[in-house]
Amino acid sequence: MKYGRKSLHDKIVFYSLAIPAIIIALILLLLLLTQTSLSIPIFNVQGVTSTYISTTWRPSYEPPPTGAWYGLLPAIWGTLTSAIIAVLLALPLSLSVVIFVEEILPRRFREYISAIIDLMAGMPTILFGIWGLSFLGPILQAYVMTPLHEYLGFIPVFSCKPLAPATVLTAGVLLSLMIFPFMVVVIQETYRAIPITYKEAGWSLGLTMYEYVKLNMSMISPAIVSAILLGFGRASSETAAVTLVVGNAYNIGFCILSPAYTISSLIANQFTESGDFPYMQNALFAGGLILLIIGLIVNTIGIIILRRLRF
Amino acid sequence: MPNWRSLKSNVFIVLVVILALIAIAPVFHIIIYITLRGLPVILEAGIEFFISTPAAVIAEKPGGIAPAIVGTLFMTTMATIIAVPIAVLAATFSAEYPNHIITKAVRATSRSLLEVATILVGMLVFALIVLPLGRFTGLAGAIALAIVMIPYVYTYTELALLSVPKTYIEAGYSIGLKKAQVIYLVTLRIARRGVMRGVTIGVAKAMGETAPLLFTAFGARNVIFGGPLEPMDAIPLMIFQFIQTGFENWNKLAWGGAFVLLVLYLTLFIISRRIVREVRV
Repeated sequence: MKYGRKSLHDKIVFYSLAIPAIIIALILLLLLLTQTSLSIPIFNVQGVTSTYISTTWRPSYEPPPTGAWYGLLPAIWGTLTSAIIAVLLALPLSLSVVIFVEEILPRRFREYISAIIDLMAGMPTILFGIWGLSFLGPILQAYVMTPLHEYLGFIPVFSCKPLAPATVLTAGVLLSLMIFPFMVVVIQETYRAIPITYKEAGWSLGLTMYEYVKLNMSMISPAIVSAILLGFGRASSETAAVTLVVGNAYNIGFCILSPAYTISSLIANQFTESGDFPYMQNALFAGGLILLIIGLIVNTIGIIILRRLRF
Repeated sequence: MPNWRSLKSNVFIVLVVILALIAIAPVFHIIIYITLRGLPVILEAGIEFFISTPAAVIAEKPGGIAPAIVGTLFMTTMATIIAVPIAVLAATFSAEYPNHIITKAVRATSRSLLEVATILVGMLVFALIVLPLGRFTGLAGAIALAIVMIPYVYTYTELALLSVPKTYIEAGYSIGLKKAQVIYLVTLRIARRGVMRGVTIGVAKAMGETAPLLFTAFGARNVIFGGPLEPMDAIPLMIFQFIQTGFENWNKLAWGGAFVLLVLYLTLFIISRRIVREVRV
């Protein structure tokens, strides 16, 4: 009798906790379902492959394929290039911060640096955006992009003249500042987990600081790969700040000194009006779908790699 | 003979320090820059900045951002009311039944939601709430922000609950408490600071979001508060829209708004740090 009552009580507890948990679990499923089902109409008229590999973006009141055409490749390209630039720049920054905090800075100052890293990680992204638009962009145009084009213009990535402060490079640089704090956290946590005996073994061999750090970093290389992937995921999904500094021009090319669109900035800029044109909103949902898929794949791999690393 | 090994190492150390400083410097510049451009706008406009609507673009004074401030307060509060119970109960489920299939699903979802582009959350709420209702609403904005907030509250709460010593929980059962009583009186009590920290971080995150509001709350410039079923403004949304216009008045409001958002964020950040410190003592 008593056992039966207790188990009824346990059941009630179970369900009242399970329902909120199920609600959360459903959000991702709902996200996938909505993005997919609202993408299907555009796939039906344009085909999946040609929607993603076409470079033409031609809104029209006439439905595709004869009137309008919505090819997403330039936006996908812009997302990939800006995120790759961001990761390439953020990696040396985050490695340096980890080495600086763990090996160079006196112990009592460490907390301050972690506080600053936390502060950056949580900062509303629009604040990065407004700073990037009015300070970083013009500075980069005058002192970085113009010289790069003048002296290294023979390299394809610098071949176009930087006509505006908002370019793929500007977005990449701003994104690198936004994602490196996350990469620091991932790398630092694993760096701290290296057993002290391993580290002492390094010192006892009489290694210099450079050799010692190189040895430690090689031990946690999976964490670095994971940080790269998670940083890339963050960079590709950022919206508000990127929309302000990427220039929003439907370009595709290897030159990073020209304005471009990313998937998220395309959605941010065109979604509200897209309801007026047949199939345009569906095309933007197709963009959202590929963004979701890229994000899920990159993050899942990143987390799996990180979890496998054990000392 | 020069010692190449130690020379290489010294160059390396210098390079590391320079790069680390380059990485950390921008956040200070952002704070100073926003203060220098935003604070004068607020000082010049005075109380007007907080209680009136944006003036016409050609007006002498820029007016204020009351709709954005009220909207941010309303939507963030609503989002907290929606998100916190769901996230805390779900985290309690994960801590109570760590190997259950639902736990695995909710953990995976929460991890993914932390990383998923928040603009997709905006599109989801647009499809599920804005389209059927036929209009942009503050309520839809609040729901979008709640979805942004949930994984933060969930993650921190679960972490806090799992760190509650098992002996306390067993002591609860041994004096005859029922499961619900143990959860409420023992586990959640002990973990409450961790929960609070998650809520603070979640609120800071939701308050600063722009993308999920673009197609849900949409923005409303001329009405300070039209009710939850009307389009609504928010500080980040206002900044995003006004800074892209060429109008000096609206740019000023964007900078003033950025300063307000910065102050709100720094306040929440300091609170969340305080909470951690008290946990350690």
